Amino acid sequence: MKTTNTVLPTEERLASQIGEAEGPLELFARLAAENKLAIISLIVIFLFVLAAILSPVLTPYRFDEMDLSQRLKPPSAEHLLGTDEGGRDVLTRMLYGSRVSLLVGVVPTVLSMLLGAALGILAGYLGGWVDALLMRLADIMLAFPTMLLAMVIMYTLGDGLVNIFLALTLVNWASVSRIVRSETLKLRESEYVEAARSMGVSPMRIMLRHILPNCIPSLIVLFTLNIPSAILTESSLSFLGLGIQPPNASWGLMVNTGRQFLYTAPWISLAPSAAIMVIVLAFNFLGDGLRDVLDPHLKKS
Amino acid sequence: MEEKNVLEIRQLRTSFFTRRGEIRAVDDVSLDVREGAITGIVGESGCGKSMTARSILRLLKYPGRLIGGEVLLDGRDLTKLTEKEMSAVRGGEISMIFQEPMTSLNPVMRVGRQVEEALRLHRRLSAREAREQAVAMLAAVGIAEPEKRARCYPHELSGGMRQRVMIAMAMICKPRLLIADEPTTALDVTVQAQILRLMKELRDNGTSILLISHDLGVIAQVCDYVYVMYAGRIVEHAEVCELFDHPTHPYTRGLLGAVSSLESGSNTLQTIPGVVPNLLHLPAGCAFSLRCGECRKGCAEHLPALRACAPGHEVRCHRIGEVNA
Repeated sequence: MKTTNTVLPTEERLASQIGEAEGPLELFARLAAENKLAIISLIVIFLFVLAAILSPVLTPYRFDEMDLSQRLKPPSAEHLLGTDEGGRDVLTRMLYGSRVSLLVGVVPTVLSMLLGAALGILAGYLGGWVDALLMRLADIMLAFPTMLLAMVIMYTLGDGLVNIFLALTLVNWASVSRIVRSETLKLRESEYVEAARSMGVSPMRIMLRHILPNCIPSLIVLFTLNIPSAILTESSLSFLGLGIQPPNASWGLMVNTGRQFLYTAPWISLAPSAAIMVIVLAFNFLGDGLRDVLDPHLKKS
Repeated sequence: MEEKNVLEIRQLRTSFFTRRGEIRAVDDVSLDVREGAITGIVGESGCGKSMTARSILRLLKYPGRLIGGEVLLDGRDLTKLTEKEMSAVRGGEISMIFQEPMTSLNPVMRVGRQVEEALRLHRRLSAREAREQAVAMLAAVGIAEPEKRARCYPHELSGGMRQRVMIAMAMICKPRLLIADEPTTALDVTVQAQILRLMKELRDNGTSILLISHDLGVIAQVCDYVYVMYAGRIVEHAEVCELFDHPTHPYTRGLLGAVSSLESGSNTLQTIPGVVPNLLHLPAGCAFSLRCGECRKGCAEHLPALRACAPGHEVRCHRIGEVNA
């Protein structure tokens, strides 16, 4: 076949000016240029992750090391954030608590995203009774107040980290599947899905190769926005005594135990409260920044 | 006739069953696509040309349904295949390109991969062979620096290049038939000319093409044989020169009259009076009778049959005897 390259000079030149595809690095650069707050948030999150991983190295104390002679000591050189009612170092407990918070933020969010995305795409693409069944199920989950549902599940399953994961996954998948379903309904009617169908691509492959990748921008944003809500839910559960149990450390639990000493030893509650606030805000800002950058409508067309 | 038909459609009927009644989008359509030629379907929006194309590939959306007729690809009736067998036909033996090159490519997949996709589905090829063939195909449809372009995402390409990629996707498995649904409508005129030239090249290399367009200029430029559709039915068909030299159906004549011409010397654009009729309330007879200047008693009551008015030229009009006389 004869090629017709020569007839297309302007078109080709224009295309080469636009240049190569945008990789993760370019995306990051664009995020940095457009949204300083998101980058600062990213750094903050990175520091928290680092602290969680390195906590045994960063502190000379153990998280459950009691020293009753050192009860309720204010911040000092030995105990940078003071000690609690058992004479345990607050900073140490916060560092170990960040492991719980980050795990609880990420693991159930990932699980609920996987579950929600899978069910949402199936419901949206297949439609019919599959859609009706899955979405009524989601509606039932959404009809309960999140916190109440999580409390009921924790009360039934008993406390412990794995059960917190389960409870938060069960609470969160429904909203994810709703969003993914609506995205799928839109994408299903798109010309390129139509085109893929006209090429004989199987429904399974269309869902995995054509619809799922196009949902990813929304999923990333949803991911960063669901993490803080999961962290908050865990803190609340632990605060209410339904989550992590002493002597294990969790920010919510620390806020709760410090409550009795709020006037005499405010650092026990204030330090973990501040940590919760900072990490939740950081994830929220990052989520907002990512949403702006990943929005396909703002992309060069 | 010694020419072979790749595709023969016989009495095809496709209807949409809506709450307000049955809409006959494709009503008793029979047409042949000749091997190695470009066959055109022309008509206004909503006359059923796209639905005919979708019916061939059985890509109808709810509540549309194929309710009768045969679609014979090399003698095999596609309407009787299972969905799985149909998947092998789609993209493998018949492929389709769509109107909107801007939205017909997956925005998050590199175009090279999209071209490969059909190849991987229908032919068992290694990733490297598939890649090589995809790049070769991109070069064949006139994309410069195909290796580089294959790694691009759709938003990095212009409309014309995207339509070329679409054609490459459709042609990669060397299908028996290429269905092009308004392939140039969304493109500007210079790019349109390039794409049409490419379609002609494909034909000269032996591809059979079914081209759907509302643009008589496009039809005249590239088609070998033309079907004119109105309100779900074929009202006239002939070889392209015959049709343009001797348009016989009042609707065809109206369409040709509405094309502005520099030579005609007239300043006003001729139009066909009225609008496309509501497919829910078609007259029992000729659907064009509502707008036809030559409508007589009985036209709206009795459906005219397709009758030959010249060799290879058939018209669905009660008045062909009188008009030709």
